[in-house]
Amino acid sequence: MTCNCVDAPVPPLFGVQTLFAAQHTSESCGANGLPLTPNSITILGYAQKLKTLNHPNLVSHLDFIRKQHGRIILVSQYFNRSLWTESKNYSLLIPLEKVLSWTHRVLSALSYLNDNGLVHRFLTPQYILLDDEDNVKLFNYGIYYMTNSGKNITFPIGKLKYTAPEVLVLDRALNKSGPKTDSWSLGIIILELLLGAQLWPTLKLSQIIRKILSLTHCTDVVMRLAREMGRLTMYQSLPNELKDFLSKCICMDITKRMCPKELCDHKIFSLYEYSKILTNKCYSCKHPLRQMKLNQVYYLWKLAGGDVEWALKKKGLLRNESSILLIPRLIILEGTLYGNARNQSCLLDLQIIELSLDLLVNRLQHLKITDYDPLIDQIKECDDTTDKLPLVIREKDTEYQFHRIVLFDRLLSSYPFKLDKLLIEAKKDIPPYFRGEIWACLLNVCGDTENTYLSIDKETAGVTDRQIEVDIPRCHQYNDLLSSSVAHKKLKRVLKAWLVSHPKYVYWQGLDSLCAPFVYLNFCKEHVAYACLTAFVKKYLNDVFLRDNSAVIREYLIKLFHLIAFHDPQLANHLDDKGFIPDLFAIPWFLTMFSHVFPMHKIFHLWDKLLLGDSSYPLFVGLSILSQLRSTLLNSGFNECILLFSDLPEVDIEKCVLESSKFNDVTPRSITFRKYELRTETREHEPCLIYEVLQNEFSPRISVYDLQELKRSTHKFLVVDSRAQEYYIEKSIPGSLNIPIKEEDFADENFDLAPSPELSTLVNNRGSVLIVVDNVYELNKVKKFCRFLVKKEYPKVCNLHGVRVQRARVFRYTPTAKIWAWTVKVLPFVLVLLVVFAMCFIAVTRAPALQKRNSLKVNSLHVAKLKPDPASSAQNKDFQLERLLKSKPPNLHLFVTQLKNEANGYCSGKLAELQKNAEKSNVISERLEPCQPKPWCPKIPPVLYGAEKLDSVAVNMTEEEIVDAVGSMGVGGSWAPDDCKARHSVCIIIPYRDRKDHLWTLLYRLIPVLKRQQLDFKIFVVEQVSNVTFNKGAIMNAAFLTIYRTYGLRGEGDWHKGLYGCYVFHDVDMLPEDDRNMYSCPEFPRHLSVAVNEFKYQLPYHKLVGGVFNIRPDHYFLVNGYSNLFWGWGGEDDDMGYRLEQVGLPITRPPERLARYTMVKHVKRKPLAHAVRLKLVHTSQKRYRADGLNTLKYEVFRVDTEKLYTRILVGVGDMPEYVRSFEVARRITTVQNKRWK
Amino acid sequence: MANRAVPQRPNGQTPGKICQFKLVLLGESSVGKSSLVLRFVKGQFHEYQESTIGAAFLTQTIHLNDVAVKFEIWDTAGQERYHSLAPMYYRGAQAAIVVYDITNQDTFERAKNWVKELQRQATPGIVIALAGNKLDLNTMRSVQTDESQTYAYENGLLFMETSAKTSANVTEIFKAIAEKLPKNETTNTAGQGRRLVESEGANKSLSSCCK
Ligand SMILES: Nc1nc2c(ncn2[C@@H]2O[C@H](COP(=O)(O)OP(=O)(O)OP(=O)(O)O)[C@@H](O)[C@H]2O)c(=O)[nH]1
Ligand SMILES: [Mg+2]
Repeated sequence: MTCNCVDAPVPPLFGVQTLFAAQHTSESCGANGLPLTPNSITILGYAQKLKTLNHPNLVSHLDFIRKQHGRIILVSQYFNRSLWTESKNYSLLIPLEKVLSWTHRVLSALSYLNDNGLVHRFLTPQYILLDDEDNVKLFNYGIYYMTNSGKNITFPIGKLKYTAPEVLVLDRALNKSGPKTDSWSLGIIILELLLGAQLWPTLKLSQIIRKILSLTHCTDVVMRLAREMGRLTMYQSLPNELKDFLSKCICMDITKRMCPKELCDHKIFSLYEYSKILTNKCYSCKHPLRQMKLNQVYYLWKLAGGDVEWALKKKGLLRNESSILLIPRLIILEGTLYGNARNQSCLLDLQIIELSLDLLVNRLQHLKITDYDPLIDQIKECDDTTDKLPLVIREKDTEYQFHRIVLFDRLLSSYPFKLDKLLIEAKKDIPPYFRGEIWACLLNVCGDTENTYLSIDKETAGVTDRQIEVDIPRCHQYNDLLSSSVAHKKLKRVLKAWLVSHPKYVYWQGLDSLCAPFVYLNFCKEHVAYACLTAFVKKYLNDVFLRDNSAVIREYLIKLFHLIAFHDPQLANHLDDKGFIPDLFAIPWFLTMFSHVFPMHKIFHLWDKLLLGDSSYPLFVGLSILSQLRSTLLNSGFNECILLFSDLPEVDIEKCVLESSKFNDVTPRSITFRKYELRTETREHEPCLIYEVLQNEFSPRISVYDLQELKRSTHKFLVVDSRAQEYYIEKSIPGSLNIPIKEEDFADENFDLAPSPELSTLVNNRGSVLIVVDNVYELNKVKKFCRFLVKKEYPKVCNLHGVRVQRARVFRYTPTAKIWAWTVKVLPFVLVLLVVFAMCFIAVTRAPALQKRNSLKVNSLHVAKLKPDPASSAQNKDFQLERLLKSKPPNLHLFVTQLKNEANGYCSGKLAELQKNAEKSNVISERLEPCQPKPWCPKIPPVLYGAEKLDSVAVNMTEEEIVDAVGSMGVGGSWAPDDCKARHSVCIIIPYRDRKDHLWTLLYRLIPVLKRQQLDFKIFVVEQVSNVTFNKGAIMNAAFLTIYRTYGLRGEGDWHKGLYGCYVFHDVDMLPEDDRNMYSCPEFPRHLSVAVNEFKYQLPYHKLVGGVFNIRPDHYFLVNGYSNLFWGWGGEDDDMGYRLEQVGLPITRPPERLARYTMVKHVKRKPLAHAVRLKLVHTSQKRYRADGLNTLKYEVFRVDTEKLYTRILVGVGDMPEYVRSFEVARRITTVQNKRWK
Repeated sequence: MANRAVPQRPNGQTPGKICQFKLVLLGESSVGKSSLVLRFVKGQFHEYQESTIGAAFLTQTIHLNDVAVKFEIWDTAGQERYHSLAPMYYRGAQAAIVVYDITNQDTFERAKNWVKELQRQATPGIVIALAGNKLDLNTMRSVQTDESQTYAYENGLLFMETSAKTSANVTEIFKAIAEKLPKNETTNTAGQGRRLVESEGANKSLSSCCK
């Protein structure tokens, strides 16, 4: 239809007007004592809605600019023809059809406005414009709406002659004009057009008002007006329908007047074929710019140097009065001004300035017609030169932005197809014009978000309303738009909607800042802002807004620190040295993704990149901010550092963005892996650790997967193997460097590596990724080694996570050929092993004594060694772990699930029974006393004695005396406070073997402590059937299982509380000295006997969990309980320590001054052979799934209910013969030895 | 107040002692903690003072007779949820200002809770001041001066009504605190500001740190 040509002239398309908002008298304050928001800002907020209106008969609004003194500049589409100019040009009368067609279009536009909650209120022939196709375009329809029905301005809106009478009569401040005022105005306009004359052309304003008001007493208003115009006869000749139509418009009685929508359906429009009047003239040649969206043209025009203000000045509209003339003549103390009030007449300038587009046209002159309508798949790469320019320049470059806008316009309209292309282009940069929409795409916002948003209740008051209300007026208020009342309401609504739809999250201060950019960019599309916020939080801030978010935040912070250590060891050392931890400065960074830290324009550029990165990208941003401030930080002490961040200096955001993506590119993914991030895929061996573990490490861990990736990539890396040389020679990761180190080496502050070829390799490889590996149980050594390397300022230090170096798995990345060669080499050995085991198996099954307990089968799973040791497999000379382990242990997970079902089944059965009984008895008891629920016991028990001095000998009392002394107890050693509901339920398990006086001394000491701690507890004493080797681990497991299965139900009376939530494994010789040491289970396993008199009240070594140990059942399942393999005394506790470490559970401890114990003196027993124990302890990590609860064979002989405890007698078999006969054949490292003495 | 602050001397002319104290501001959100600090440290007032997340740190020195008192000020976040972070900041602090908003009774209740917590868990002997802020909004007052005065007296707190906006009583309250803090000679030179991450058992009794 139309044809484009680049040379065609472009008429001005935009018109500019200005008006002044009412000003608050200076010094007037709001209720909060702070200055009121300027009216011009309020207007700006309302005006935003106008931009979204879209109707063929409305001009589009393009821009609202706020200037000093409350000036507002309006930019909108404009045509220089209007009904006013038309009526002047026609020498004859305008044909009726034409008038009707215009009328109908105006009405349709008006009813569209009404539907959107607007009325025009400023209808005059001048503001009914005609475009080049003779189409009606209403102008100036927004002033009444944006000034909040005229409340924010001091001048009246509307031209008096066309103003409906009620507007003149009613109080402007109290009454909003309805749609019918526009009907009146339109009526007058049509009347003038039809009669070809002006109404009251010469009258003064006051006279006009009198005239209008005098119409009240008139029966036929229209006729009267026609007479006033001197065209009565002409009027009388008009068709009757038309007269009727006019009388429905020009009608004093509002109730009888029709609103635009009703007028639209008036029968006059069905009588005339008015629609044919319009011809779609095709101008033979039209500039292609005119095919673009007006907003885009205006945006480009501004880029090309278009300046609205300047255009106004040129026309003399912005006369800057010298400020001295604006000073009031008199100010009285309350702040009222007198004199020099602003001249009313210049508050609204009716003059419309046209903006010439020449500038833009010239700028784009050399573009070809195809540039306006490209095929997106063939879009030529933009000028390389522009591509490389800094972002800020690219954003200001007209031509570049022109191409970007054309391109993204197409890509966005085809979303979600072409998403890949969109991503590629967004990576280059994001044109500001489309930022909101592109962000939404990058966040995968799709679907019917509008209705979802509509359906959320955003109005009901909530608990955090106060907080939101005080935060929003402090959030990015330097931004005009966001400081407007409309924006405040929007922000609040979006926040509330988000909170309502995410019940697991709560409002944390800072969420407002996070939400603000989305609201700003999608000001008129709240639902998009909401959907973006939702997607954003999910991707980058998963779980951060939980009620208890400390674990999530802390992980973020620790990961940041690891990343610093990884990339900038010098800085990390310095910060560590000064104690300047990320907790002090980085919480707002991550909680708000920097939106609380930076101004809006920086957030835009930052998030442009952030949204393209994955969920660990924020960490890199944090790192790059630090590295920008690096030199200052390095020269600062603690106070200066913290001051620096309290008032963050100017950060070059573009540099920051560039650098963070560089860091992102050179950092293996697992380094920044966070446990709490929302993950789309999980890879094997991701370092999934809780923060207690992380906190102890200075350098990050790397996954095997990433090691393989490194091998494939061009990145330089070096594996540093710190094991002893024997191990290294035996087998190692190909290409790794052996630097044998012992943990004790690091005890010396000044320790340094001795010069060696290896050391020089290390030094030469400074800068490559250094991956420290060692045996699993050497975690501490690895930690210290990494710390050492970081101290020596080696960058990129990390350690390999979760790999058993002994296993073949590490070598999976070797090329297949190698694997084959390797398999062929090993196969014979495996066969030999199989045969040997088969023989053993036959031999063993024949031996009746062992038959029951140890069904030894060929253990294919646990042939852990790469190279089988011929000596050990051939003869019985070395201790064989494999023989102790049962083959094919039951799957731990299944085992636990089954056990839990069993326990729950038992529990609910029991509960039902108890409930029935309770109901029966309730019938009676209810009448006697009203049933009052018990209150919770106080968080801190009210009566505690604190520290007591104890003797380390057994008490000299009879059992009866002790029973009397401890006071009343429930069935089988159970007790619960009766005046309140206990906060903790605890089950105490005391493994026992013929130390009666110890047991009674313990009961004498322990029970009163537990009672004072107001616990709901029950004591179990577990004993092994006589005359076999004691196995503490196994009987504790047995006791646990027995209790969990059947006796785990808490204090029978309190049936509604279910299972015990805490198990305490209590050595019989440990007497608590201080009742402030709570016998409850906190979040993580807790070792209670920290300071024992025997060890001079000091913790002998870190992994110790022996003595008194509290653990939640779920954690006990996780580690598969104690090992069953420790026959004789000792070792199982240390094994437990390793198990905890293996599953990543930290051992927590109460402070030493509280956790004090006295050990009752007794004769030491012969422990299990050192070598066996060592061997076991060393293998504990790989053993734990195959040795423990799930492999325990036990038998409960009897369960007795005693006065102070329940006694469980169990059998777990006896020590296998070959263990007994095993000789200590190996040399044992002396250091390890000390532990067992 | 009988004591006057000596005006700052020209450079290098301060022969007296320098004392460093760690001071922490606590109180419900939006009562004006950050505004008070800003007024005290920079003499400014921002109507749209941003909310505090985590905490902010600033220092300011005032002169009392011939002693220079340097405050290391931790301004904390007011929202209840950030409560768990608070001990990190008040641990080892020698002084605290608990702020409430005189136009809002709830913030006063919250202030009382803070005082209770400080008395129980902070350094023994910590100097606590209660500040009723937004005095410029006197007409909208809902916490009466008598009420808070009595409360402060009963709990041995310093008490003043302040306004960050008009700067009424702002410097005064800091001075009053400075006067009440012990300034005896000890050798402890390190600023206490850094003692943030001490492990349990750090609740040693109040020590001054003049040099
Ligand atoms: N009228 C008046 N307003 C004040 C005064 N002090 C603070 N404000 C205003 O109260 C609001 C909150 O002040 P902030 O200093 O941010 O409050 P805060 O206690 O630091 O709040 P959080 O950081 O959220 O804990 C701001 O808008 C201040 O402008 C005052 O003395 N008078
Ligand atoms: Mg604050």
